[in-house]
Amino acid sequence: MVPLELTFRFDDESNSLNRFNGLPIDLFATFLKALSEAVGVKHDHDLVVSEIKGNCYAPVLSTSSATKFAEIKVLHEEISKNNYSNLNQKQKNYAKTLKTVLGNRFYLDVYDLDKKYFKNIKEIKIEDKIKHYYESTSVRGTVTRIGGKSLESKPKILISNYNHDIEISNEQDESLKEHYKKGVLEFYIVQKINVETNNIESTLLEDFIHLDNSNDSMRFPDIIKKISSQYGESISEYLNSIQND
Amino acid sequence: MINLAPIQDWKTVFVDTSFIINCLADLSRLKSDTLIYDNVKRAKALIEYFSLETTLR
Repeated sequence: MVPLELTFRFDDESNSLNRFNGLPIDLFATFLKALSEAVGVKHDHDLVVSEIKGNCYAPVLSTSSATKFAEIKVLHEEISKNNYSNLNQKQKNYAKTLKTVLGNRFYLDVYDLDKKYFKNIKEIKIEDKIKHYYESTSVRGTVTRIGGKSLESKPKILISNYNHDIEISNEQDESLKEHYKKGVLEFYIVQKINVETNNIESTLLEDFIHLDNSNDSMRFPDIIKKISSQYGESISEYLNSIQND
Repeated sequence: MINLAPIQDWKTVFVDTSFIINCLADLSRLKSDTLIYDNVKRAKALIEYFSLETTLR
């Protein structure tokens, strides 16, 4: 069976690439690996580099699989049209890798032997999906550690009831020193969360308050009664005024 | 018909702002025979019940 070949011709506007001035091997390897994953290469002979043409930098890839051959052609046709809606995640990853490989410097022509199939890829417009989201929450605890790993690093604290370091500002660093291992504080934090893993990657302290420990042992009805004894009259006046309206 | 469980079986109670305001008011300072007076009276009775046996915080 005759191998099916596709040429991947990398070049720039000044035609500066040739067989001795080609892509760095790490970049080339990244490109090949991403393409291999995008087309689901499972066997050693599914897709191979047959040669690299020299009047530019043009690796020739060959396959004995008509399916893989068609798949690669469709993939590059979609990328050349900047249409990614029909691509799966690995194919989208390949498009992003190709975008990195090309940078703003190179373009890529993909064509078969008689150039009946010819696709030019210049500018890949694929957006990176959102990797993180931010969540505000509060947590109560006692400051158990203050300080970063070195003098230059960002100041951080560790508190009981929360398993992650919390980044703080220099001003907060000063304010929190007096609370070190003393009393319970309420911390208002913003967590940076990885969309794929759901892991908290970093936490930032927005604000904190020192809780009135005298209320800690009080139950909700007791707190209501305590506040009512102080402000009940004013609240009743307000309610009476509403009633009059 | 609303099918409510007996109050002693309640595990969680969600209260809104108006309930808390009613709980905080001083009943003796309110005009009687008004809707607000009745609401405050009921809210205080409920909070009194919870203050007997509760872990409400």
